[in-house]
Amino acid sequence: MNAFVTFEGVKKVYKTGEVEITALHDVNFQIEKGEFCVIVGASGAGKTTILNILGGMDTLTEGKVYLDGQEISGYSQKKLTEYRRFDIGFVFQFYNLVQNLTALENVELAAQICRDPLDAATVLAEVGLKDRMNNFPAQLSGGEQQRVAIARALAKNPKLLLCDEPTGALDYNTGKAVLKLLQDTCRKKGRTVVVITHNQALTAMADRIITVKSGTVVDMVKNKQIVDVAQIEW
Amino acid sequence: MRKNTIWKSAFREIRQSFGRFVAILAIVALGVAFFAGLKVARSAMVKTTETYLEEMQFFDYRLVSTLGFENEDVSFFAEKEEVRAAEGSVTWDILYQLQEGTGGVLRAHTLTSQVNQVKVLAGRLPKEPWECVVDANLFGEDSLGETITLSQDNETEDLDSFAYGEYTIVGIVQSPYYIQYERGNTSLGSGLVSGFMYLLPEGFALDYYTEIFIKFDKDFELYSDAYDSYMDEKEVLWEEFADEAALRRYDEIRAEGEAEIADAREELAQEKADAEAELADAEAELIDAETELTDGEAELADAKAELRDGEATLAEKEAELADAKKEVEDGEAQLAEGEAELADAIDEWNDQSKELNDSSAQVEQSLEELSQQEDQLAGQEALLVQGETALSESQAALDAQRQETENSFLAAQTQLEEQEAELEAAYGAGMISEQEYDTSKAALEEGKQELEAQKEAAAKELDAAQDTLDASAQELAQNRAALEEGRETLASYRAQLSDASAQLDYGHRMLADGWMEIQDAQAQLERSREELESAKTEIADGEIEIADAKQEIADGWQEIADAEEELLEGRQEYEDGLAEYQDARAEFEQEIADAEAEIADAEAELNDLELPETYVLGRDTNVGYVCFENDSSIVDGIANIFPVFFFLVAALVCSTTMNRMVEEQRTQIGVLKALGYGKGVIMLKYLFYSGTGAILGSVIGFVGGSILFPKVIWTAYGMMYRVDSLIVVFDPVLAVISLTAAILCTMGATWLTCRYELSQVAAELMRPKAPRAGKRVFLEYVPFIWRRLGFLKKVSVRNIFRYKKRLLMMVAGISGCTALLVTGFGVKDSVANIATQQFEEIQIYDIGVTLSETVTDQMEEALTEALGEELSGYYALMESSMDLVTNQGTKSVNLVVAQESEGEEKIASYLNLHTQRREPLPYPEKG
Repeated sequence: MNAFVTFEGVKKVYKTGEVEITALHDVNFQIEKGEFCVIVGASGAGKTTILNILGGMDTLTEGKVYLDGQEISGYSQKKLTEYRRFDIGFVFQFYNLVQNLTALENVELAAQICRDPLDAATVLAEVGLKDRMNNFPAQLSGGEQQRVAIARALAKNPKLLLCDEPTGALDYNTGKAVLKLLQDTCRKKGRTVVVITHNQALTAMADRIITVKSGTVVDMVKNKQIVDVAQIEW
Repeated sequence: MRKNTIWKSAFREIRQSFGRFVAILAIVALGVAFFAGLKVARSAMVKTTETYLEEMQFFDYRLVSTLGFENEDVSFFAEKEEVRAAEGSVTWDILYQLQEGTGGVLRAHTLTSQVNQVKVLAGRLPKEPWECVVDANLFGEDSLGETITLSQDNETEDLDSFAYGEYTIVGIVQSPYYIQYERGNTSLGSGLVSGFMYLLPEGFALDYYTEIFIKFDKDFELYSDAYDSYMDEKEVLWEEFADEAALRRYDEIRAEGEAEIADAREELAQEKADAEAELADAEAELIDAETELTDGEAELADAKAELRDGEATLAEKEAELADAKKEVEDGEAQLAEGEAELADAIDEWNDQSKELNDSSAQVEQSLEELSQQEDQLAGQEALLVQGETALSESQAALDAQRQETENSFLAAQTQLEEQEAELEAAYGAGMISEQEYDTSKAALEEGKQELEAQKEAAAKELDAAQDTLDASAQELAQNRAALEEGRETLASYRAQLSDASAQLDYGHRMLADGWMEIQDAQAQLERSREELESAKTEIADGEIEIADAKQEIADGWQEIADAEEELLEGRQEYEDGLAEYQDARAEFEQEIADAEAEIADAEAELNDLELPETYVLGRDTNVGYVCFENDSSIVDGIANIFPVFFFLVAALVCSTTMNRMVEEQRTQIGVLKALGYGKGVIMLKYLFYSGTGAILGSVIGFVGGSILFPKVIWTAYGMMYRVDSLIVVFDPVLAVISLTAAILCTMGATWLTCRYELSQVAAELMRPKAPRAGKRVFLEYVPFIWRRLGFLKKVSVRNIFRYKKRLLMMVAGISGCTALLVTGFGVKDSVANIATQQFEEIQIYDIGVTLSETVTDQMEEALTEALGEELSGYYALMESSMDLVTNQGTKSVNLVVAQESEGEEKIASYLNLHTQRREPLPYPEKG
């Protein structure tokens, strides 16, 4: 309703043949605009599922999801595609870059279909990959690839930036750098950023912390003491 | 372009998985090539032949009549509507021989200029009637210039149909009438036509055409229904035309025939009149002959009488002659006596004469001798004188010599004495030694002695010589004495002789008188003789006359005999003549009767002349045309199945490939979806990939296939057919179909898979695909087997049925390929078996012998002679090529007639007729 993002009674059941798996049940939470939200939980808790539903990349079985006053869960396929195109920027855990395009082209790929994209080269420079723009993902390290992925998401100039375990495959320092980037874009650009992690320590940098356990939100807290990423140790 | 990055990605995709791209392209190309190529093969083949036949103006109708056609008929047909050309032609089979003994049967045709034109491959078309062009299948370029000789084994009728006995090859051609290698059947030679030959119309000696070719003014597609219906429409009308023309010719022939018969009748009447006139003349002649004969007989009787009279006269004359002869004989006797006497007298006289002569001779001789002796004596005296002279000379000489000798000796002695004296002097003087002196003295003594000896010797000699001389002197004296004696003898002898001479003279005088007497007597006898001779001559003449007369009479009888003979002959001739005349008359009657009968027959024949039968034959009676239609539709048949298979395979491969590709790109699709790319765009990316491959492959396959496959098939058929080179046909319909099919298969598959993928949510896509859960397999419900299987085996069994699509494709693909293989081998085996079956199960006989004349009796002998022990049996058949007319058209068939008597049993060992299922078919009975 008045919150930027609202999840109401969301339930997600996966059916493969005769097997039914309930990934989420009774998920309720809100996120304000411009917030840096961290969703934590153990592996297999359902965090990615929530993000996917939020990002329009998955459907829900029951419940409603609202973004900026629009009911996402009621969107048709076409509308969802538009939604994903214009409103969402997604950073995947395993980068998911297009292998046969260069870093620049990967970012352009995403930017070209958006309404009001940022310049791909600039964004790449911002993420520190000025010299790596013409390399293929295979020629980039993990961190660089993740940064390309972030640049890709950022270049779309979305309303909502969703990051699924962005530092999962990165080392301590690179991870920190990536998170810093995310934090900066949230603070400086006022973009709503949602980050999934299983690392409790990262909740310190968040504005809002949502805890997921066994397919449902067990806790939603606004962070009183927001710490700068540089100061978090783990 | 706004969305060009995704296109970049698409292009790069092609480049980076180029192998896959090429694979799709290739399989599509193959499938399309096979499909389009095989399917268009028939069109190309037909189009090529169509163009060729049109160029050569292949006939539409071939009109044949049992009476043949003429130029008028050709014009008649040419005027009919829609006829572009009508040409008359002659077709005639003939046995031929080439220079080195190769021979066979040639089918000779007239070289037509508007219909059924020929194509010259080497050389040129004939310009003279003795030139020809020949079948390219049978002759090569090296035959140009050689001569074809029409064999003497041909029937007269066949040889007479040709204007020449030899034809020179000036060109090698191919004919649209013979596009297939089969040249047809014939009743000549081996039954198969070896090749064809074209001649100018003047090359044939016939005055009619055996057929007329018609070409209509409309050109249709080959074998099309439009052509068939066009020709069907014309059929009835043209059959009428043909009948009309044939009927007209029939009438003409009939009219000709009748005219000939009328002429014949006239001739007959004419000849009859002439013959009768001749016979009448003959009769008159015979009558004259009879008269002659009768006259002759009368003459003969008269002649006989004459001769008899003559004989009587002759007898009288002979008696007279006999008397005369007697007289003469007596006279002769007398004369003989007188002559004898005279002869004796002469003899006597001769003797005497002889005696006398001898005596005379003797005396002469003696005289001569005497002379000689006197001469001799004279000679001797001379000699004697000579001798005396010599003697005195010799004596003188001797004396001289004596003197000389004495002188010499004296000299010598003197010398010696001197020497001695010298010596003594010398010695005495002491000028020489004693020895020397001894020696010299000895020598001197010797010398003295010698000299003495010599002296003695010389004295002896001289004495001897003197003795000799003395002896000689004595002799001489004796001789002289003898000489004087001789002289005396001679003188007395001479006196005797002179007496004898005187006597002889007296005798001579006496002889001369005697001779005078004899001569008188001779003269008398001569006179008598002459008289007798003249009498004899008269008698001789008389005899000669009588002899002549006799001869005359004899000749006369001979003549009469001859005349009688002649008369007899004459009568005989007359009889013969009469007989001849009668025969001639009989013959004449007969011939007239025969001639009239012939004319009657001719009239009957003419009446029997049947109405001609005509045949209006279309292109479907031409072997090459029909075979080609069949063969090309076979190709079409193949094109219906094989390409479909290939296409299916291509489709399967394409769909699998694209399927796999899309599934591989699952995550990427998810990402694109997540990034907000629409389904359409994402789909398009993959459709582009498969589409490009499909379209390019289709184009390449279509072009390549349309060129390659028809060429391959054409080359294979090229052995059997001789047409122009293949025309490549690009069928737009096929292009569209194959392109559509290719696109459907590839892009369709892509679209389906993409659609399936894209139907999932992005999140799902980005997660790896969960493999399909294995279901319980039917086999699991058979615990008996299931328990015994190991784990891996159980998994394998499950997996078989797990991925149904794969299973299906595998089964389909393998069974499809196996089917193709089996079909291929099956076709090969079936075709290969044909020969075996035909010649080992149906036509069991080993050798077939074609006879040029029917010989039945000597057949067994001849066969045994030729084959010897290897012959186990033979069976006589009659075989003939005929045309079988049925509702479905006319087919050329081989009619086999077997001997009846042997029955079924025997022929089954030569010709085993049975159905496909090996059920034996009995040889047909009568009817």
